[in-house]
Amino acid sequence: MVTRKFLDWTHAALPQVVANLQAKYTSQKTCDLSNVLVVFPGQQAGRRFLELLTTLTHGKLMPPRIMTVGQLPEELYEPKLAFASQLTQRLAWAEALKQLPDEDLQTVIAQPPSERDVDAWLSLGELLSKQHRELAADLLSFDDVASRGASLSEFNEAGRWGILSQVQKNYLALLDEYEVWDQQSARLVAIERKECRTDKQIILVGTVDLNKTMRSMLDQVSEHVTTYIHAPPELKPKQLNALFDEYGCLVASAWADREIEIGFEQVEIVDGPLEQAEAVVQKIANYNGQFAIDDITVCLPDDRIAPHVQRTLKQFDISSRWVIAKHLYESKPYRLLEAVSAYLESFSTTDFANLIRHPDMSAWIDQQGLPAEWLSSWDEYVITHLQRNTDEILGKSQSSKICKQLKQMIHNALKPFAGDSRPLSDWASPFTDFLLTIYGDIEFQKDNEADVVLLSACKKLHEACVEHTSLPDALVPVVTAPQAIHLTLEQVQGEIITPISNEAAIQLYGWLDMALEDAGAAIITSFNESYVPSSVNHDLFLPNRLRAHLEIEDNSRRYARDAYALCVLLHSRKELHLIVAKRDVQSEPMIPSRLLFATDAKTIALRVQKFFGEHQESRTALVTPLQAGEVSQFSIPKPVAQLFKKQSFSVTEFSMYLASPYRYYLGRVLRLGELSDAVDELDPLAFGNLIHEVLNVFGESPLANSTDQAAVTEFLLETLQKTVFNEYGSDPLFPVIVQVEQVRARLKAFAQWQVGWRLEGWEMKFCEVGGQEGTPFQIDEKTTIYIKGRIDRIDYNADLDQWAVLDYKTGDAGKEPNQVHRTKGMWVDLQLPLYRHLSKKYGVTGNVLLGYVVIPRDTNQIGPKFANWTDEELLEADDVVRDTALRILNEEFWIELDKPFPYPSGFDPICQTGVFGSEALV
Amino acid sequence: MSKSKRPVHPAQKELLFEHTTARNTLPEKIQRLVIRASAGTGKTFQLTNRYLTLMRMSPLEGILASTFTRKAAGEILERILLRLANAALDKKELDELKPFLGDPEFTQHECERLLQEFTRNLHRVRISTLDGFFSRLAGSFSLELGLPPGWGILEGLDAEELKSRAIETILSGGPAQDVVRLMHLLDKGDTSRSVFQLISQKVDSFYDAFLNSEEPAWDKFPEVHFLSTEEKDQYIEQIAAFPLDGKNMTKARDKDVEALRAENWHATLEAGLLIPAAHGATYSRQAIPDQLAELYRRLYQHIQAGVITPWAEQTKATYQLLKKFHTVNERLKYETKGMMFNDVTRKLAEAMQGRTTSQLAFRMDGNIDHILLDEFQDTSPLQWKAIRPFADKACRTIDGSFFCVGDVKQAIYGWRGGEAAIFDEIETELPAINTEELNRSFRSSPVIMDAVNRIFTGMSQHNSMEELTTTLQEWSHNFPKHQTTKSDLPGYVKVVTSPLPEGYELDGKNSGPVVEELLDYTAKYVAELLKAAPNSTIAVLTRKNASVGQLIFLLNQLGIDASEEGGNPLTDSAAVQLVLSLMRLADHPGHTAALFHIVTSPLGSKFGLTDHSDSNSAHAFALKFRQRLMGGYGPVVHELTSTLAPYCNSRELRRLIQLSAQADNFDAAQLPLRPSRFVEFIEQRKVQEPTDSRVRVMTVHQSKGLEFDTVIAPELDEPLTRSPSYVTLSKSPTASPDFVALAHRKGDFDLLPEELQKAYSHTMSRSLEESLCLLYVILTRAIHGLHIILRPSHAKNETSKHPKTYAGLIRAALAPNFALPPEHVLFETGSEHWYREVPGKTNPMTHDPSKTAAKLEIAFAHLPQRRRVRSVAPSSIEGGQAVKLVNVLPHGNAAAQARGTLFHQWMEQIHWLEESQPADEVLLRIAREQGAQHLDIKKSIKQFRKMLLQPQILQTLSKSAYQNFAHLPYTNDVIADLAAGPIDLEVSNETAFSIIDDDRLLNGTIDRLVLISRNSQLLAAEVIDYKTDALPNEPGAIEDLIEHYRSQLQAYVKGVEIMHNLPLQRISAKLILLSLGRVETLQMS
Ligand code: SF4
Repeated sequence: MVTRKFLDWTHAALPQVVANLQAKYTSQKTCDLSNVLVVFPGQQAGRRFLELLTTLTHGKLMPPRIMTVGQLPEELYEPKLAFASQLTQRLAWAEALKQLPDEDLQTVIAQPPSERDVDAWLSLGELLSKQHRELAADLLSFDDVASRGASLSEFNEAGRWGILSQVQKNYLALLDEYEVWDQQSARLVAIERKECRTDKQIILVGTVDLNKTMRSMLDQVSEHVTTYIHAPPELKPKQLNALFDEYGCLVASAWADREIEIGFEQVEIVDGPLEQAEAVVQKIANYNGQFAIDDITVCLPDDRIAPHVQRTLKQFDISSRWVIAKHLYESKPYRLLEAVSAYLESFSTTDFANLIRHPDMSAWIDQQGLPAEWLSSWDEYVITHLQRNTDEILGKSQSSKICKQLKQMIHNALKPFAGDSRPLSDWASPFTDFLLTIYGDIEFQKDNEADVVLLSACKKLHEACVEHTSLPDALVPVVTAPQAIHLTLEQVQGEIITPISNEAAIQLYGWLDMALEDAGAAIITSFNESYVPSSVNHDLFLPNRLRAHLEIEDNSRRYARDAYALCVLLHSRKELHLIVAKRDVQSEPMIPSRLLFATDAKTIALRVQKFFGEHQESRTALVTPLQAGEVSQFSIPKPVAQLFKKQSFSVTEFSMYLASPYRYYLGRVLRLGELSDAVDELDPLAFGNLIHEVLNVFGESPLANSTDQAAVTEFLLETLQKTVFNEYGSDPLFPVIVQVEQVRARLKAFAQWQVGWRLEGWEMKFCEVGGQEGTPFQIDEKTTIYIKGRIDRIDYNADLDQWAVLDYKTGDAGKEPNQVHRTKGMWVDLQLPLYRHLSKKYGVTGNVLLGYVVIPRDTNQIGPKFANWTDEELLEADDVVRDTALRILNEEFWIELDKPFPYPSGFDPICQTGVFGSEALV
Repeated sequence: MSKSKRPVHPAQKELLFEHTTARNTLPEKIQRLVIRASAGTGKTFQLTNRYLTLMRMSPLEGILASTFTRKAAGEILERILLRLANAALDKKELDELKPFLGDPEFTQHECERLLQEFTRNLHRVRISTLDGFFSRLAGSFSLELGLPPGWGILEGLDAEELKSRAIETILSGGPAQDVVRLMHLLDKGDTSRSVFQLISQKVDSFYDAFLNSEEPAWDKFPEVHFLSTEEKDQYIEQIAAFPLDGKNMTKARDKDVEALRAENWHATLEAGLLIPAAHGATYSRQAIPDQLAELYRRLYQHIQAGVITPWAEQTKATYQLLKKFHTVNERLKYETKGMMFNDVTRKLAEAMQGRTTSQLAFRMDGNIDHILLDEFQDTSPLQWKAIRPFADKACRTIDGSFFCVGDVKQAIYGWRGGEAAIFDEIETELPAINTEELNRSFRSSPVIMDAVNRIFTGMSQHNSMEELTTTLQEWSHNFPKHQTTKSDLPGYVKVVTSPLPEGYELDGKNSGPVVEELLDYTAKYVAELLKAAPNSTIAVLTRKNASVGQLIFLLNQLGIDASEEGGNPLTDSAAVQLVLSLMRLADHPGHTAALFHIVTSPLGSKFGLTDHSDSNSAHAFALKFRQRLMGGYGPVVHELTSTLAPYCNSRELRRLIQLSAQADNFDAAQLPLRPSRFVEFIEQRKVQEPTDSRVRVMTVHQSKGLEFDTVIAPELDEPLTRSPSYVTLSKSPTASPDFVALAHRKGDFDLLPEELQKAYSHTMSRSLEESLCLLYVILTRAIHGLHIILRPSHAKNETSKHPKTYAGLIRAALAPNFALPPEHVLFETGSEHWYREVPGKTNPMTHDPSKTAAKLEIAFAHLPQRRRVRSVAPSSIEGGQAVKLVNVLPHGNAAAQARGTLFHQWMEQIHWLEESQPADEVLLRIAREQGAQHLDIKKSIKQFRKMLLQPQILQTLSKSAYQNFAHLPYTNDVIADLAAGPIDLEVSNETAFSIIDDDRLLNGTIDRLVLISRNSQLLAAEVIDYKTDALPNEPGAIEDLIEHYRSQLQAYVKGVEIMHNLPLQRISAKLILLSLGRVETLQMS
């Protein structure tokens, strides 16, 4: 029989255990626990225990071995073979599944993954491995489930479990073959053969829920075992026996009905994560300096709210310590490798752009001597050439040159990963080599948390790779580099990195560590169902009723454990508060914990009213130490005087000014713009440029005035092809290819129109003219400005003695000039009226038509659209030009609009567009 | 629930139902009940009543209650708890509850028992959305359903991204020509620039239709034949040449000929002689000569072919596109393990075919015998398919029950797949259903209810609904008369036109300015109402999403703190915008607009960004900032919040703090390398401000389930029906369509066989019905006031027809004459100043929560001794402060590492080498346990023994080492002390220690500790540590290594000092480098 010792639960447990052990094991001033194993349910308690023990003995201590329950079994028997690693187990389970006849396999898994999908098979392996671990811990095999389940009503899965039992047998046979051991089975064998023994004293602390494997093992060494149980001090042995069994474990049924006394004021119901965090701070403030900072623990059963709590505490300058500094998957090396794997998989421009933005990659690139603006060069390259992948870097511009070097550089760094599929284990050293390439030259500081996190992440990743080299050969999958990286990352995904520094801080704990914690004040957040207590009802393998039937961990055991823990907390803390949330971080509704209602019916009713009654105040005030001012000081930066006087104007810039003088200032005067690499396809500008480019080449060609439609078409299409090839190479983003086809269709229709137009007597006299030197334009007695603009073409019809000044417009809609130039009778664009002046020097006089050649979506519409402005209107347009130019010259840029600027633009944030209480409409 | 009340085994129960009055069943009349509950009549109340009743006869997991939103599900649960609690505590409440449970005997005691039962079994309660229920169900059957292992639900950005990826893949999937052809068809012959957008639009509009139908349905067009060109031309010319006298007819014929020559088929269908000729009718009351008519008839089939052929091709092309998309999408979803709710439902619905639910009961941990469905009108056919087997079973089980409540008049989720007609169908699909109607409102005042009745009855006066007249009439006819229990509530209804913009000439074309003026007017209207009754709630309900933002903008200009239901994106704050600019710049250091934004803000100097043309600084900053973001967006935004707080007003600060919270959520949800992703995330998310703003602006859909003192409807001039993107025809609402076609001109449907023609009117009727539902929802949100603001119209524009708009219906019902002068009250009833009759409404708004930030004083006790110490393992402090990665990564492959570990373990067996060496079998056993099967153990043992023979090692591990004191690294006085007499040596391996040093908890294990004592008096000690590092035998490398391990050994020495109370100078330390066979003595400072 295990020796049970009861501790008074009105005080914290650990100090009592320490005191007990110290009294018992101290001789000659040294506390000699070298022959003792102290076992806790979790790691935190062990750490705290050692801290207390060391402090109390002042280091005159031969410390005991400290471990978790999970580690104890292997202390009690001698494993004859090495244990299969996690990965080996998963692979072996997957392999065992694959060995099933197809029909059986499909009974269990309707759509088995393809052979190549290593990832999916591993997930399945893990799934079965998990069932196996859990069942074996309670001395059950899959076969037992099949046979014992039969006596459960509604159990209709004997067949399924029968097949799974075959898988289990396959699995064990495989491990035999590889001469490794399944840990669960090893334990079972040791129990069966009565091989458990020890010469140590075993002290169990707070282990109130032991599985059957553990119990059976303890039976074999029971005279060495003492268990310490935190319990109500006032109870008689008989009452204690009702609550705790002979191993000191909870008797679930006894706890199911136990009333839990909670004061109204101990519970608060709040809305979401933010409110939970604020409630925590509120509680701490209410403690009024009664506790030292590290004498307060905050428990986070739902660890997703950890950042909210930490952030809010930090706002109030309260340091906190959470056992997780980072999840491994959040660490930089992990994410770097993820980016590498994605890029190696696709060699796509997008994945390349992601990879080079990883700051460690960027920092490494910075070291390689590229011009500082390499990233902008890349962005420019991307939007200019719209390449799908990085096979070939196009163009001869400066950015293109930089991008070529950049790509080379990255590919050199990735060299270790080059090559075809090979056994997973062979990728281990390329993996490490790559990490060393990127991180090798950096000196890390061991007292810097970020550095330590990075180092330990690298180390864990490296270890995972090294582990691959010890896999049984038969199980090693043959994979590509990206697959290998992916598998490695997947394998370590769940790992965490613990923080280093530990200044005095509020401790943030998970729920399981709370019972043995000994701080004076505890605040428990997310006191909700499925966190405290957790429950499993429906399940893919083991629904609750089956669990209960098999006597493995079921809801009643979970409830008992948490009810007990809550009782311990309620009794042993000076202050205890429970915060219940209505919704979680995903805004999913949450149900309050059942434990809040473990009381008599009247009290339940009172609590319900208190928690959910109409009168609950909504917390709308934010809890923050930050002080806002009276008025917002975010202003729209006012224009500043310019050093250089402007003289020349482009025909298009007037419309920008007329739409918004301030935005004109930002765009044309300061020359600000948005550079982003977010492109899916040719944008309207690039699409238009492509057509323009082709038509200009055409305009300058001998065919410009040809009447041979076939020749014109052929020329246009050939030119298109050349232009596209120069700009976009042979493998641009796919939409571009299709867009080019759309252009092709429009050009074909254009050719038809062009030839018809020519046959009507129109001759193209000029093409793309007026670009360079400006045309003088008098705006008042003293001032002349110069107007610049490139006229797409000027045609003349001798029969009619008529000129046509034409601009190509490639917008989908094919708008009329008047629609573009005038709104509600006002001039908003002045391009065509200005062309009147620009074209004069080409001898364009007399009867002049102004218009567009529209090349829109609907190819039937391709053709000219002329403006029919009257002379007065055109004179008015000139006045508008003068007026606008004067205003620009006078730098009248701060002019407010009467309506919000109509379309979204990159200047919106500067202009406070869409901001409540914005300073002005500009 | 007591054991006796557990349901019997399902096999026994699943008899076809028969009449029974068993104790544990509901009265038969309500056992299978469908409630049609009009707005405000207490649907949820009915549902909770039912739930409470069922709780008395069934275990909780046997009852499934589902509703439309997660929030509503949470509320139902709270209501159940509260009603039980109130009744348990208060006799009066109990008495009120009794009738609803249909049991006058219901006792307080039982109420208590139920409450206890419920709270104890909260984890078994099944109250959720249908989607939630389905995804849990699917979780328990994921292997059978073919879901990828480890799947989860995809939402928001991720779902969008997946769609883009799928489109990208389709585009890249085949030869460009194929895609071009497809595009051409999809684009109806046009050549749009944006390919991506086009496909994305198609996918958005047609994917649901695709999923709900089979391929043949998209290929139902009749076979048609073109005439040969010669034939066709011949007929046209004959028509052209046909002698005619009538002026009209000649003109029409000439026009026809022109259109026919141009192959403009639509023109010939819309006007001219073709249609009358084809149908043997007259043209403007003149008979068409037979011969001419015959020519037309011959052309008719050609024209038919001309219209139908491209139409059919486009429809098929659309199907092909969707099929491609579907295949790719499914594959991507499998790979990324992300499923949409719909996918899960679909898989379930498919799997449920031909299965009984009792097969599921086991893994669901219990049968479901009672079904309660809320908002049933919004159920999709797919959802119905998946839930139907449960419903069926509930109906057919003796003590099972079925209950569903909803309102076909509120079916406004057709675009999301909701199908109100299922509501009508259940009555036939499920056995022995009883129906009840609820038309007594617990919400609205009599004035409002009257207006609602008048509108929906009177709308049948609408005189120009054309082919939709029947639908309208039917709706109107079936509209139940609404009543209200709130007969005392005052109310007011007004229909008014807005003013016209100044100097506006109504030209009938450009209504833009009128609409703007109307919105302006609406904002001012709200302002007035709010001034009169500051403490009442006002909702402006719009039809268009865009108007919400616009109205909020206008209201804000008027100083009214209006919020969108569900909140606005955080980008409505200047401070947030600034933070987002930082993110943009971090992603794109060449983004000069973002740079300028920062440079001119308070952050410019903080980040050393002072010149918007300094691109080097921008690049350096971007990298540094991305570096920081790797630590999480939450912490960065949080820090920025503190920095920016002094520049904020309270609203801006509040938005920033909300941004921090969103950033935390973002960190939890995704870890992108692109800060732009964060910008997108924030732009997409709506975050409600915790204001008490009385004015809310929202679309009709958002107003579902809400109520307000006053409702303002400013957008009822919108058309009732829009041209749909496709039409469908199916045998029943739940059946998948037999015919799907892209929408075309109405007239084109006349060319189709009769049974297909119906598709158009069928689709349009549904569209009208949904609009009527929207109107109904708008009108019934109001408690007291309902204000309908319509566009004015000039007298000359006046017609004798009601427009096919919402306004048209209202006018037909309430103000049947046609005049619509500006600012004119068309209808008015009730008391305009109703709020004076309701206490509290005219009180000023007192507390503005946005302005009250709680002040918190936080203090901690200062204890003399720190309660906790920092815990450090000596091995983790090796290498001092700076370290390189090479030094941290263990060397070699698994075998090399295993060998190192093994040697280390073998060393533990050694005490004094000259006395004994571990036997081979001991070494072997250790090797086996360690699992060193990759090593050649025999060889390793040889190597190990050889290593032990290395002179330095042999020497160090022997007693003799301690005979010659002069060699020991102690000070002279210690050596003298040692030499003073005989000594005792004690060696121990693996000595653990734990001390507190310098506020740190140091604990670790010393490989080998030699204690030198005389007469039990400890004189000196030596700490020896084994290292298995493989390194070149060079002085430099060895020195580095020693330095690397120095602090670790120092910690050991410290441990010995404290544990044994031995002065430092009496403790020496050595490193044994096993691979080199060297021993290094460390000088300890
Ligand atoms: S109210 Fe409904 S239909 Fe109208 S815009 Fe909003 S979501 Fe769309």
